[in-house]
Amino acid sequence: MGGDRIDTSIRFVPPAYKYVGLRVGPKIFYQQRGGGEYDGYRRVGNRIFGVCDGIRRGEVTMIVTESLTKRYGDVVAVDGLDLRVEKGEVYGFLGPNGAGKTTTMEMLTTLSTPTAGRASVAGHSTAERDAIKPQIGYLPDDPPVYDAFSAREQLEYVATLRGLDDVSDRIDRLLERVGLAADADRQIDGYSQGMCQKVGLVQSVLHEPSVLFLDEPTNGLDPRAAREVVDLIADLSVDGTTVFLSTHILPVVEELADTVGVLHEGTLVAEGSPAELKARATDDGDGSLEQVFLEVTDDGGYLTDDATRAGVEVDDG
Amino acid sequence: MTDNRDSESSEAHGTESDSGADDGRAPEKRQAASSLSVILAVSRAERRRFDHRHTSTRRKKAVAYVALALMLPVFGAMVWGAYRFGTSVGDGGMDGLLTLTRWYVPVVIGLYVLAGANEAGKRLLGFEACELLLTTVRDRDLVLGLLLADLRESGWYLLGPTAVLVLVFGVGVGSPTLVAVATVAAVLVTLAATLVGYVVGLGARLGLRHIPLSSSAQSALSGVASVGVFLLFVAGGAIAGQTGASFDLGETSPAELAPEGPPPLAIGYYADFFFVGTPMLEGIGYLALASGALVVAAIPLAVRGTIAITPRLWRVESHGDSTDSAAASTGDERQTGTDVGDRREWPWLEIPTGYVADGVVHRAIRTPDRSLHVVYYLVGAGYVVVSLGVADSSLLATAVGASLVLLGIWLAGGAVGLNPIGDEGSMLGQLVLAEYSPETFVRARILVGTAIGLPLVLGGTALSTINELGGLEATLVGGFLAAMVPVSACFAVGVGTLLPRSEPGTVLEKFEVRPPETLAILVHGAVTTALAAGGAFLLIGDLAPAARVGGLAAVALCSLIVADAGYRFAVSGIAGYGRPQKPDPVYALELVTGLGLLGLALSLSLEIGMATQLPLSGPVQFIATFVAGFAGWALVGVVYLYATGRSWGYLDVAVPDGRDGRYLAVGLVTSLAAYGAFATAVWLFELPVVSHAIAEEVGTAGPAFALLLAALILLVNAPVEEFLFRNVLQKRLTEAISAGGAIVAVSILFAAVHLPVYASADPVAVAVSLLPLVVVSIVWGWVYERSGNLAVPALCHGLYNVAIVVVPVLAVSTF
Repeated sequence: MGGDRIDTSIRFVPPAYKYVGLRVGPKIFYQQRGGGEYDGYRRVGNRIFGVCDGIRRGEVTMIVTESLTKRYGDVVAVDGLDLRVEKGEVYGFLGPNGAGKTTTMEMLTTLSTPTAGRASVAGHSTAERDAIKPQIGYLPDDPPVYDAFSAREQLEYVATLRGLDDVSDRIDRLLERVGLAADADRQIDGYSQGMCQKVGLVQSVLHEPSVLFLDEPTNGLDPRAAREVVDLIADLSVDGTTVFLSTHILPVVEELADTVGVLHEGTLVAEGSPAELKARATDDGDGSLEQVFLEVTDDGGYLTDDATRAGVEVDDG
Repeated sequence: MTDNRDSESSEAHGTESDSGADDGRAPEKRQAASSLSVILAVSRAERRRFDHRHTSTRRKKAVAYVALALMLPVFGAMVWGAYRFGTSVGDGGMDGLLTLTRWYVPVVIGLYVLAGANEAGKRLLGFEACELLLTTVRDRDLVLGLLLADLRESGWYLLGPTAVLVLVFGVGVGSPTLVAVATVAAVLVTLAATLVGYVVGLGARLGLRHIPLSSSAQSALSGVASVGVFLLFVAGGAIAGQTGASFDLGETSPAELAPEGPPPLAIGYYADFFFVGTPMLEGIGYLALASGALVVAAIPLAVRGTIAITPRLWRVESHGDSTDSAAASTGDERQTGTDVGDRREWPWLEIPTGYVADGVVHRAIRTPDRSLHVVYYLVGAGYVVVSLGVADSSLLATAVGASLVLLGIWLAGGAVGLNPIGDEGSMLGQLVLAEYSPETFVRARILVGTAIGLPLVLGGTALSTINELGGLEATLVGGFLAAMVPVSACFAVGVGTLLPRSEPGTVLEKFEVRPPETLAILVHGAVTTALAAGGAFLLIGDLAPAARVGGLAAVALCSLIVADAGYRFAVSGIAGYGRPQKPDPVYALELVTGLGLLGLALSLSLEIGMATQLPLSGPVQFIATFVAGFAGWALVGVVYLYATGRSWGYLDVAVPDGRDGRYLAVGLVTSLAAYGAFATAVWLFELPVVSHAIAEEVGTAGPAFALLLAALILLVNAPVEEFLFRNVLQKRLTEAISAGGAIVAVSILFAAVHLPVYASADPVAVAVSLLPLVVVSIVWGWVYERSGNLAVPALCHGLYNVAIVVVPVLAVSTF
């Protein structure tokens, strides 16, 4: 990507954007398509932003929840959650351990039933599992693989269960993409946690889902592997996949997410773009996402003394 | 589990800092004391872990208590046997026993060594021990602490009982010297043999490390070794039992069984210590003293050996693990990893079920340690071979064939069917989201199980019937047993879905990775064995044609119910993953029928057991039998509520109010009127009837007996039957089908399970006699449905039974 010479034949139709014109994504130059409905490019630092207008936010909403609630006995895991995630958006779902992130994901992927409230994914209620399942991919925090299989066998097996034909090329490409090609015929039993995580990620996108749920996708990955995974997620997002990303690695969120929601004790305590959230930080800290995260999820324990929360607006669901 | 490990490691850290501080101040003097405290701390932590593992949940506690309750009478019988044996030895009636014992002692010591070798790695090489290696605790102290914990445990099941039995034997002989000497000798030899076994076992494991075997193959090997040891014990027990039985029967004296001359190994003279002070031994010889010294010396030597070998195993183990993970993470030594080839193209891979089944088989083959619970079945089958083969060597072919049949029927479900959900683990969520239907994943396991079971069953049938049966009978039996294979597979997936297990087991946890729930193994094994054995007996046994046809029909019906219900339950378990399950009317009907039949079987066997096995007579026997029969019914209901997580809140019991009183009156009047109409019709049209078995008994007894019966009916019979049929079965069925349908279906079942008490050669009479039961049961079902209070139909039922059974007798005897 030398200098300012940018091939103007690149057509970039941003799948989603909240504000007219800006699409943040590190890899848009991969998208070589014909035609042109863009207004131009803007280069900021070493990143290229596609700029255009035309599609408004909310045209296609992929995830909607209304007062979504899950109780386990007396414990309220998720408490009246209201979410909207638009098509092509990367939604960064933050929260401390035990905030209810995984429970929310399980309800959205139909693997768990809400105690109260409703949710719909890709236009279907989560009660209709058969309608939703071709549309979604899910990578839980514990990557679901058979350790007796090789990566290729695992992926071919799941592809067949998903009803896909002739996917071996796609599997090869994806394995190459995440750097697993050389190990693809080894038994998963001997894989490191990060390698399992990558197999799980590839497995969850084999059928080109329109909504992708990722629970801690960079869990256990070294910086290089994490970079490969983050790039893959960015690519998928540019291709129009809606990504619902749960993590507590804040730089990942800051890089990928269009919108960030912070869940604390089952309730959404803050929501907005990374920039908006950072604007809420009090003057005491460095104004980072981490500072905001600590402030909005603060129960009055460690770190409370100087973190006065005066400047933070808190959404109560 | 987790918090336990935490507490343990914190304890270990505590000891570490203690010993560290001590070392700093007075290194030499404090060393011994701090070592002892470390050893005790390790042993205490291990004991806490053991206690926690066996009593951490309500179910585990219950299992422990049940096991204890079952073991205590057995142990009591053994103590009594040891005492009687001692008295007969004291009377001098056991000529030649000393020679025989000298021959046997080396064998017994050998068995204990084997058992010790088998047990050795269980705790010493356990994960927790490796964790403590990170502390500064000395290896020697660690090994001693773990050994101490092992001895404490074996004190409960090995050392203690052995000592008690030998002590009682000595008391029986009547010699105080013998009591002291023999008890000490028994404890010492048990201890020494076990510890020598530890050295042997650990040494063997150390040797295995140098043979390049995959870790799953190694654990498979150790599993098979455990089974071998167990079977040796069974064989030893069978031979000892036979020998003992022939003493009791007076057929042979020990002198006839004992070979001439000295024992094969001089250690056999250790037997002399068990006969000090009896008429058959004048004094302790030098050979006995030498073997005693050898045993005593073996203890510290074996401890030293264990201390020397164990840390080497720890090191080798951690070293091997680190190279493995390094190879995996760098990828540089890629060739060291298991490279798996492509799966071939087979025609069945085109069918979804075949494709999934192929995956199940491949996973099972590549990770043999996952399927190691299969060795439990080998124990069962091996037991059949050993016990029958030892009893009569001419039956060996039949015994081997029968055990193969059993193995085939068990493994059809046990190999891959008994834990379908736990076996999939985290992949279950992906399967649920796949395009393939939930049925596919269940059918695949049934297919694999059937493919495993069929060859075993057919081969076993051929082997066991070849000399015993004609061609037609053999074909019939073979066909029936072959049909039982898919039944077993279907039932297994159902039981395995009801009782899944995803945590490691507790029996042979060193090599069990993902076994099914023990309860699921037992239930599946018991039901399939009963159906297969019952059916085979009905086919070839010496029976009247009517009994044969009826019995076979019952077996067929039961098989159909358990198979289809199991299949449906497993499918709904996967399809319903993470969401409420849809009620399945067919499954509900099958479940209710199955529970009814199970109640009948249990009630009959308890009644027969109570009537024949206990030395009771008169009214006491009548009450005991009556209560036992109804306890069987109640047990089914209670176990069902427990197993499905329905609490006592499922019971609809309340003090009847005015509204309930009206339903009671209506129900009682209607049911009595129905009975009156029935009796009139029988009298009018001279219909053939059979009277209730108990009514005939009452007819011949006096009014006091009638009153007793009335009390039993009101307090036991009616509440229990109404609890099961109304509150459990009808209520469960109402969840799936309409209330009316449920009432009628349960009423037909209610009449059907009364078949045994109206048994007669005339089927018309039986049918006519059962008809009023259907009608009154519908009335009581309606009363329960409307009142929502179990007390109302229970009172209706009780008063009705008293009215038609007891009142006529009282009336006749009064006037």
